[in-house]
Amino acid sequence: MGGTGVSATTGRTGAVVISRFGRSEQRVPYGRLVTVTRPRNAAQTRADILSAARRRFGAEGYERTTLRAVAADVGVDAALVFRYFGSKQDLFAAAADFEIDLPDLSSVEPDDVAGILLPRFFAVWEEDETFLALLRAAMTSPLAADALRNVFAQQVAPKLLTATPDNPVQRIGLMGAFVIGLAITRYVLVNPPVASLSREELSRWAAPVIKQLLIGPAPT
Amino acid sequence: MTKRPRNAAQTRADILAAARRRFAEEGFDRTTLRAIAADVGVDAALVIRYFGSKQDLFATATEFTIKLPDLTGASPDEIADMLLPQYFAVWEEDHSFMALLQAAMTSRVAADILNETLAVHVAPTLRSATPDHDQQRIALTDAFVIGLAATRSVLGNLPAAELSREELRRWAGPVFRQLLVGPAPS
Repeated sequence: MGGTGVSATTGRTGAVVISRFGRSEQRVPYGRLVTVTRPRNAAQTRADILSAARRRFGAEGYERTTLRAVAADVGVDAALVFRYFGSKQDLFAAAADFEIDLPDLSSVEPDDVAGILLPRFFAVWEEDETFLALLRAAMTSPLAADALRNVFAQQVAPKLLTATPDNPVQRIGLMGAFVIGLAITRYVLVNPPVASLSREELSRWAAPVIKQLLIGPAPT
Repeated sequence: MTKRPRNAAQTRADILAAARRRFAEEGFDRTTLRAIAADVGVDAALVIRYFGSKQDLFATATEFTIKLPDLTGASPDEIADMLLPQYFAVWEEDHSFMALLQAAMTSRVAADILNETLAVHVAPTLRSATPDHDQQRIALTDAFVIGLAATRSVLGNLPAAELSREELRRWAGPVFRQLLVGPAPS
């Protein structure tokens, strides 16, 4: 589908043309040529495209999102999106790429593990839209689900592993399910009982669960 | 139009199955009655006659039953074992629930229906077990349950999906116990 955007550079009536000076000239329906001045700031444009892509992928899922729609949200041509990011799959990878910065937990006291992890989870959930866009898209697209799994496998699981004394698959598996469940109920479903808890209250109640799952006694 | 057997019950079932697929894959907003009708090989007017509006069809297609036992007087050690088989039946066998959960990720209408179901059909049962802090206990239990359902039945590729039911039961048991009846955190 990336190809659909490229043809829009032909400059025919109604199309938006991006000049190499970072301005777009747009022919409005009654034929007047209007120059829409965009800030000449490639970095800002890239950031705007990524932000629009996250909204679209999050709201509509991977399959239904088009480069053309993302471009239109930002007011640029689909060809520019293609030039900056490549195919839809490449754009998705860029938009869903995020860093979750978890510390090594091997020397942390069991009682302190949840207190270290929870603020970092809240940061990922609340401070940018990347994770939630990825989570929403993953629920309806196998490609997005793979991207989510990669984030979990590369950035989350290895750090959680440093806390677990045994049974890593079970401990990390249930921990992942708990964290994803909190994110879905609080931010996607906006389930009233979960969403109305303060961070502090939610943390207080989640802490014993995290402790049990990661380092508590293995169930018999 | 393809000739179909004159079996209204089968046609209704086919429409509901097609609706679940469409709502799950495309979300509530983007699904049309016309597309569902086409999947089944019937006219959209027939879908409307059987089920009413798109929202009515959605409600019927994603209606699921969860039968949780009364937990009054249950011993703390038994609670997880009483609940989990009922949850498994919904997460892993009930296509209505899975369609609703997927649709709820991109649709306010669907999310509200799921929230309503949790409030009306799940919370009262959990409340029969909780000694205090009902809201916090039920909220986190619901979050845990939805997380297990999402990772196992929808995403299907995270470590939780690899666990057998028996292993999951063993590891989830202490969590249910802590959340529903364990000591309130200080």
